[in-house]
Amino acid sequence: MAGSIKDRVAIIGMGCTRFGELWDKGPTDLVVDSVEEAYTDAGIEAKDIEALWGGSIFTAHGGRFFTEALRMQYIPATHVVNACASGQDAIRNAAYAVAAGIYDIVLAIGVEKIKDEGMSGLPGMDNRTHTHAVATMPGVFAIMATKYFHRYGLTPEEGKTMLAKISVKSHANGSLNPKAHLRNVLTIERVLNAPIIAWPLGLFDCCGVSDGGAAAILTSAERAKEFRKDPVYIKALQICGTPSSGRITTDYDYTHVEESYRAGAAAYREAGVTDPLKEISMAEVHDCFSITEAVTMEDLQFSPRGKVKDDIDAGTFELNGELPVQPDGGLKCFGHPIGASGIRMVYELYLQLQGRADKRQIKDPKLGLAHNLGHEPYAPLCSVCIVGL
Amino acid sequence: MTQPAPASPVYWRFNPEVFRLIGIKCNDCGHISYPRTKICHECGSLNLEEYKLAKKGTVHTYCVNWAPPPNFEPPITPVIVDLESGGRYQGLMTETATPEDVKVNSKVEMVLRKLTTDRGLNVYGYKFRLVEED
Ligand SMILES: [Zn+2]
Repeated sequence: MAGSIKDRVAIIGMGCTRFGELWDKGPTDLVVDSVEEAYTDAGIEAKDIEALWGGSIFTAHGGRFFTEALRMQYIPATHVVNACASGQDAIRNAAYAVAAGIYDIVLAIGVEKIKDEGMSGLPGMDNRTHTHAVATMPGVFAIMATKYFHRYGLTPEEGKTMLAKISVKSHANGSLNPKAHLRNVLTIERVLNAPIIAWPLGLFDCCGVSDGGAAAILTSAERAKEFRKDPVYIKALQICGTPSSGRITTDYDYTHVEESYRAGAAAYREAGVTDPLKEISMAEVHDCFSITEAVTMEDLQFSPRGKVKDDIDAGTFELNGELPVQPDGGLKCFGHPIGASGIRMVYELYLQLQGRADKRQIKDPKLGLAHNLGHEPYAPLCSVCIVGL
Repeated sequence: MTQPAPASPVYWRFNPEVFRLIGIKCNDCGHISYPRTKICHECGSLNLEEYKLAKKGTVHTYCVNWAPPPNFEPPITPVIVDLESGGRYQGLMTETATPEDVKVNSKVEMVLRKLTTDRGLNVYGYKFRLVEED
């Protein structure tokens, strides 16, 4: 590979709306509220932005949506549509444009007004011709849980208890976060006794369904300290597309996600990370379902294959553990307004690195990782972003 | 995602795949894919031939979905089946007394069934039923 993004681009301002069932807010409100917070944070004005990239699946239709909402005066604007990685890919495109020396100050934004789409959950995206009727989102991740339990010899009770601990941990973190949608504290019993959505997954194994917006302002590493004393530097930005092998071959095991593994491995190379569990201080991963987070811990090399249960039982991923995961509450508590999620994750890492995460503050973090998994586990597109001081 | 209407061209194009179980086999490396691909997943070859799949296979994994897609009555039991011929098929179970009858590694076979009714038209396709093992 010819180049690396490491330490070439910095984040100098970020904003994020409260996530939730925001009936009184429209798409424009979510854009303007998150971007205005980012302007204030960076100490810049709208006229300083030279170009923007906006991630969204349902809400935006073209870059115009963003420039119109923000009353941007005739600047280049691009709508980024890349499944659950749309927000992170907006950051990636914006960062590359800065690294290329084309612009000094750019905006990456993600937004989704899910509650205007009339959905109570995200639809399956793989249902052409009814032959893939497995494809509700809870369904396609539930079949991973079944296989994971079977392969590693967990009874359904043992497996579901392992997964319940993931949701309990995320809600404990989310309860400390005023911007989270779901702030209730859960117990393992409550998770295990919840209605089944797609067995073995129950209600609390599924993330919320929420509206939200998040934004980041980027500039070159050279200029970053003109804006603030504590800019956060981009260390790696990787996206891994899929040949869709899990759908068409019998080799795929349904107990890992190859694209997450490869995006992670590429990001570690780019950032110079050789021991992820030791060197990564915190992670925000794509916990659309509890099983997704479990498998992702193995795909990102935080836990050995088949052993994530040991680390969950040991509390490794809790807020005071060795590697806190979902310190802000994750998709579990923020829901998944698709375009916004990736930037919302980076927002938490940014606050943590600057020591601004209040009750959720992790002690002295150095590197944070954000991960998204789009589409289905057998044919996903995955992104990994690493940021640090 | 809007479902294409049952009488639309997409169903006609999918007919060989959905009803005759036509996948592809690579003439260069022997790799079998279902659904069909235009390019061999394994070696990148375009030298592919049609390959008819077996109707019997083994359950690789499954779930019991109590919140199925529109037009399906809950619960449905989606299964990923590794076919005896090679190739992997995503489908639904039928004729089970309870969803708990299905297990990883259950032997199953395809039967043609009505899958759903969509905008007034019946939609047919294969489902899987358990095979008695002796
Ligand atoms: Zn081949």
